[in-house]
Amino acid sequence: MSDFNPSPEFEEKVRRAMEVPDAAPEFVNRLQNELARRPVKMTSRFTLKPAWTFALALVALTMIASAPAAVNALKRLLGYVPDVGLVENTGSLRMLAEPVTVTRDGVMLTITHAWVYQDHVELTYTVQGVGESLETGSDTCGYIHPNNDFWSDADADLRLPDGTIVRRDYAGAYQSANSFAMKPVYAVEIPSDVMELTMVLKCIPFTRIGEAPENWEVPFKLVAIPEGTVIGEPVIEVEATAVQPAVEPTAEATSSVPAPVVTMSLTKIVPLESATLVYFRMDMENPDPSLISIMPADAYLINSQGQKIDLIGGYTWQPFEHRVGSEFEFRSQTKPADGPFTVVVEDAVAYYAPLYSEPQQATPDEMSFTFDAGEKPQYGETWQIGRTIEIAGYPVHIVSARAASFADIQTPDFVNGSQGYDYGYEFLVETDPSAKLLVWMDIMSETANCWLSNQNINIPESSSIDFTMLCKDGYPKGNVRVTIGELSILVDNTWQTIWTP
Amino acid sequence: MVGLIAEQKMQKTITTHDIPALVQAAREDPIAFGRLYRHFVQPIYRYLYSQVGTVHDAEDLTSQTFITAYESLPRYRERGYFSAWLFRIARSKMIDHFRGGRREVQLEEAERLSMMQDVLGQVIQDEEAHHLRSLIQKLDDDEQEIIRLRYVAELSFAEMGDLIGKREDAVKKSVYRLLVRLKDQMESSHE
Repeated sequence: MSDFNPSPEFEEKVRRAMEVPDAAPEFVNRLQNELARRPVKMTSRFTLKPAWTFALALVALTMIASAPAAVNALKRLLGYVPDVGLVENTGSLRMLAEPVTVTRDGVMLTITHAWVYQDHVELTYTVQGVGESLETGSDTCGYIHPNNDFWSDADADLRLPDGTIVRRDYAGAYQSANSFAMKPVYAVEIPSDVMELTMVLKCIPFTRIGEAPENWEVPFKLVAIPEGTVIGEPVIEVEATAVQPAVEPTAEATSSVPAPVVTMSLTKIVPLESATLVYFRMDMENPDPSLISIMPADAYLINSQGQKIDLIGGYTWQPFEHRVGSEFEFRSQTKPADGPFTVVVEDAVAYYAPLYSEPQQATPDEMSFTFDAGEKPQYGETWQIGRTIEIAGYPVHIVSARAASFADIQTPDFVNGSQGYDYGYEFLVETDPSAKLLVWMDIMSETANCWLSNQNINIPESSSIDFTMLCKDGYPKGNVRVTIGELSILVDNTWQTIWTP
Repeated sequence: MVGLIAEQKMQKTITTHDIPALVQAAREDPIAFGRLYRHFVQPIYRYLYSQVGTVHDAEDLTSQTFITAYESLPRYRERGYFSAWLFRIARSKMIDHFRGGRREVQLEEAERLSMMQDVLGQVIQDEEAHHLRSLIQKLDDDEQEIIRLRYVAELSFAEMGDLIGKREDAVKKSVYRLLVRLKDQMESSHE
């Protein structure tokens, strides 16, 4: 399949082919009146933090009495459970009474966690003893990719005592050879008197049909968590104060490119036995509307004895999943000495995506350029482009395009080789010398399928880069249209804030 | 104050930017929920109708969707797009609908297909659109869902990404690749 920019006419044809009637005005009015009469108590909202991360290990849970942990801590019943994440006791929380394991034909399925909140259920189960390689073909049970929202037989359902079946709402998964963990989440309100549920699974994800036991039913018991109880390690919530960068932006005063002011706000601290968790947010003052994300490049803390301790991010580098203002979790490599410590963040990367921001900040035409590669592009052939596209105030100069091959970008990182993406184009892209950039570009061809690129770093290092995009079935020919999807700019600053217990 | 701001904004057409303020207002003011309802009721209805194929079921599921959303709003987590949350509820209701009456579904399926044909007769004016629809019906379930979310529910790529758990650029590529395939199939069938 190839990528292309569909014509509005064809999209309109699809729209017309899928056309269905609108709801009748009588029905719309009747339902609105019914909703207006419905007696619902509008309570204040709470913010439930994501409590699922990818992990395999069983965890021990500690229940401790809630107590204010620090002068500047906010009063919330938020706890941290190792290998699970943040758990908030909203007053009617139920949890797994004890892990449950069922073994059939050498395949061991264990429910390791279950959290029943007011409005949803979070489950974690692990599977061990399946084949060495996890299969994802059409003759398999199906697969669950983290955050995939399509259901398959591989999805575990929940069965309530009255027989009601609940399908999962979100999912996360962690997999490795012959074992994996699943973290389905069910958006359902479980009646308060229900203290036993059953996990129902048609077949084991990633396995070939018939190669592993099927039709699993695993009942598990719940226990109610007393009100006022914090689950796991207490979380110290910080009165977040935005910290300005300690080092001024490097863009020269005479430069015409923006010098964004990015702030860092410490939000939570979780002291653990062998480490400390640090949570913070990054924001930008008066951001360009196409700003998607600000990802911290490096973080560490300096403890009360002046020792530097690295902070390891507990997240993947996915800017679209870490929108501006979202919280980052970091774990210190070792436990800092008692007393205050300084949290330091060095550099960040700002992601701009005018085509994918809401509302869209540019049209595909404005973010695209074309060049005529002719009917028989030859390896090494070069075309001068000389087009400048401005994104968020940064000029993106597309200098040239060169016909390239997989050999040009091949490194040991490409463990699967070219996968058929053997031919494409290398683009020389530059911006103002005071800025450092990376770009993501797509060859939007109706006749070529282009995907493999050489962009394997996250931190911009230069004001000039070579971006290569490779395609299947030869070089795209004729007028090749290229669209810039993302621009990332290094924010060359340091932020630091002191945490005093 | 939030309610007032939201009300002032309601004097004009609601945009994606207005939704968070409306949601915030709706938490504190049930009347404000009516504005969210007005904004989303037709896309939700059309989406559900495209799945179940009868006015009765589409109205029933639309009612269930908004009643659940209304009752769940105080517990709504501001993560991602409100529209994605709402469509997630709609999808859940639809799944329950099909699962709850599996035997009946088989019977209803015939009725549904029959009625869909009637509807098609009304709305599909030309053979090309009819042919395109038959090609779409041959796509697998996930692919049909993508088409429905984009061209029936009229969700943005970002909203779709939030709903199906993919990056919006990946969703965009998926949609466009499907369109390429459909276009190719259309063209090859004309040759």
